[in-house]
Amino acid sequence: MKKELKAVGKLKNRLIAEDVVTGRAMFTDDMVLPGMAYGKVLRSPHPHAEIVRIDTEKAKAYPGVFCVQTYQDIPDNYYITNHMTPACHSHPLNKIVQYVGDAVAFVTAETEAIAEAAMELIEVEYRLLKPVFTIDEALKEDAPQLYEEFPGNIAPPIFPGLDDLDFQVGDVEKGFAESEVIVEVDAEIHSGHNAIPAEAPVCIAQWNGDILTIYGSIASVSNCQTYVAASLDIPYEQIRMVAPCVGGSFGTKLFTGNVHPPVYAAIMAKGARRPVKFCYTKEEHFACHQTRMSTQAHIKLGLKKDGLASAITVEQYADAGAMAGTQENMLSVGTASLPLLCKTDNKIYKGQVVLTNKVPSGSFRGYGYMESSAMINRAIMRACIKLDLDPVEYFKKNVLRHGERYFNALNQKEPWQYNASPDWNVMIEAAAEGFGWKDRFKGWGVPTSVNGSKRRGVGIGVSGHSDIGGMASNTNVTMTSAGGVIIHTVMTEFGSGVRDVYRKIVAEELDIPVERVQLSLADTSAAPLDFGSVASRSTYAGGSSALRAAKDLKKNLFELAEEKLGIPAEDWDFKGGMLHRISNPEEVHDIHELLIYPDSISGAGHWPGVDNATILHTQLVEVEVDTETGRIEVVDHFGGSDAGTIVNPRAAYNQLTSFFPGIDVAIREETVWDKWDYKVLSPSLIEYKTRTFNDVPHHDHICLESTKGRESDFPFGAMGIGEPLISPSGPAITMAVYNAIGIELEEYPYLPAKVLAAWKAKEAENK
Amino acid sequence: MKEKLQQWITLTVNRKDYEIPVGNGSGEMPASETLAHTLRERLHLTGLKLGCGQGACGCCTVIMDGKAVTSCMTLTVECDGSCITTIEGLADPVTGDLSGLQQAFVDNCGFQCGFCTPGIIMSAEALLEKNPHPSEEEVREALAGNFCRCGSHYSAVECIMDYVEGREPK
Repeated sequence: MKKELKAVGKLKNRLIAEDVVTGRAMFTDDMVLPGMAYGKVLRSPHPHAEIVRIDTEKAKAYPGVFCVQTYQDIPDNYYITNHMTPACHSHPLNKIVQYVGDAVAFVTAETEAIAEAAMELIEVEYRLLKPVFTIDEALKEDAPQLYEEFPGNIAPPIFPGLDDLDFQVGDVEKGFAESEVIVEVDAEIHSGHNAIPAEAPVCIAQWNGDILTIYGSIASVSNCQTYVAASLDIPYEQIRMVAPCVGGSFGTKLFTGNVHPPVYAAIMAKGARRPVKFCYTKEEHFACHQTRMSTQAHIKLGLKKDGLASAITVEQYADAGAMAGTQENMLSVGTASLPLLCKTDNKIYKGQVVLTNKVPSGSFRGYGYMESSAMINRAIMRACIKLDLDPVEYFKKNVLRHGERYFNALNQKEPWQYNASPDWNVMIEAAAEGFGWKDRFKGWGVPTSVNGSKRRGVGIGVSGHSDIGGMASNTNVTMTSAGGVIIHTVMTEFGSGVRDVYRKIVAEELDIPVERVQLSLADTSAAPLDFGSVASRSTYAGGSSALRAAKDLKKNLFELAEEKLGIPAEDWDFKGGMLHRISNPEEVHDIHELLIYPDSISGAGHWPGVDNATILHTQLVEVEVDTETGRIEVVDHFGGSDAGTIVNPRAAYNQLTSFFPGIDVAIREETVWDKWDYKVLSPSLIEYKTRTFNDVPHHDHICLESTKGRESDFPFGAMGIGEPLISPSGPAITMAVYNAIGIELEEYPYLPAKVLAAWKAKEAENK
Repeated sequence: MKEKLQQWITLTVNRKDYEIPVGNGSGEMPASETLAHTLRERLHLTGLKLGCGQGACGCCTVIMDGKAVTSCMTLTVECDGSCITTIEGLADPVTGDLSGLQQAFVDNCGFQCGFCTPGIIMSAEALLEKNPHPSEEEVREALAGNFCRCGSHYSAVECIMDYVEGREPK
């Protein structure tokens, strides 16, 4: 297969580059439709309350107001739902509000200012109900119940036996019996990590008769289209969804469970009988959109003497907040980290989704597996300490290799799969060498260096998931009679560069210049359905559908050539923009001979989804802990990936350096909740601390290209790399801090006060 | 025909002069209007982005009289007589050729989603107007008020430094 690649891997400017640097790139908030109104949401000041009276008359009478809607105006068949699982339980507006910030009324007016002024005039009387805020509180026998549909505040899977989260495989008892060490860990993440893309959620909804168009900052349009259709109980094809540039998503603009923004906008537009723009303020973005789910787990892990895992059990709870949507899927994808981190087929997993009265949690980069691998890495660290085993050696032994069989719980029909991705131990080894692990790791609990109050230590974290080829993708490719190509895809532009990936894959397969390949808008009326750019699947799954479409196009072209020129389809090749006859290299035909302007020929590529491809990322860090101030600084950071083949070198570089939210989930970022009502007290970029440009650690990385020029399942050998980038830093920092100061910190984020208290306690113990 | 007294302010934006009537009537600009709103909604210069509305993300950065300002925190009435450059004003107005700094961001892909990029480029331009040969540290300080969540913290700075180093030395 060794063939010189002409497009894949070559430096090319991103398609949107010039638009971005000139300010011409169009984002949703830049759009204005004729007659457009603006929507605002009145939000609940209470965490759990019944609306006993609501009077909107004054607001409706306010000049410039088009429409005010309350729960009384919402049809019974409207839900916020994905119509998969769990059962429908929450309407777009409800008589009972379930968290501080829950929607109480929609106001639509000529301007945002008018809508805000009118909102003040709505009179609401509440009957306060007792709230629950944590998983433990919600599970108590006498806990207040949030929804009739969920007894015990637990949202069960809707199709028992088909979509059960729980699984059991192998012989766990035997595995533990064979273990040299067994550790039991109660781990948790409760920090309310917020994805906070620069652009807040924004949608414009417009009805033309029964047809709803939504222009929005939506990362995966045909995916979201299904949820909006389910929520409004209308046929899928009556919704057209268009995404201009998306100002970052990190999973939070999929609207897979928390489909509120487009649904709210659609309801407002229907009520106001005109297009409506609905844009979250930053405060709403922080306090009312979604956070990373709180989760806690009891993990039991056994390791054999040689460092191979021998058995693992995980019992996990996810906190859905006030509405259950994607958490069940997140738990399920979280289990997909198990085959990559612990080489044992003896496993038991139990997971449950719990409802509480706080802002709903939702999808976030590292979908479920950031959380699960953070907790499992903790168990691995403790077991390695007990065995006095170098963690790099542990991971080299335990990660999956190419062709190895593994249990993928995401495919319940055929869970046993064979890893199509490269040997991950090679990547771990390369990263450890790049970082200089051997010289810098001095043994467990031993600092790399001590300088007065400043102690340094190193750590490694590993995270990934085992299903990057899952779900369906569809791409159509059209070649015009002028020889150019248009790719019809709903893949959106939200930063990763997936549209440039498609462009290069199609150009490569058709052997035409990249510049002759363009793409449709991410518009569901212009391209076939697709699961979208999620889970680092788009290069592999999406790219495979684009490659299939290009191959199908050639097949159709050769059949047309047979029809028009009388030469069998099998005797044609297409290169350099021309038809070449295989049996007679002298014979070359221009595409004009088959297609007379204006004409075109198309190919369709369907990718059904497979469940045998894995992704893994590792990070190694050196931290400096100041035992006088409690401050942790990451002084060196090293990443390891394997892209198979890099398609866009600079875009890949950008992905490889996008790890900051992963560092800061461990040492900086925190949603601060008011402990009395769980109101978000940090709803701005001033209070919620993120990484600034003048505060970046030294960073380097290695990105292998293990399948470049080799036979593989991937399009031109290319897999994804992006999604796990924010997952391994937290565990790496936990380990590095342990090695620096001999303390295992347990609750993200490790803010100075927490570190200092732990250090003081340890000092007191030693006295 | 009726007559009335009219207050107005003048702005020069991207080398073009504007007179903006101030008041609460139809078509007039209320005194409470921010510069970000005026530029985006009245002058249709949507290249600057409204990220947070609190001056904390820098996505709305424009250059006013040589200084980078967050336009969401600036009242337009206070800008009377000012000279403003937005991201739309950087390219050559006749040929459309990109500025050197813009070209560096294109060539080295100093962005991911691109929402924060206009603000980053304007902060960097303001720095370079005052200090044409900044160190990397000075560039990072100048961008400290620009929020980027995709993580262009390395590549955007590399673009700026490439541009700085590629120019004639002092």
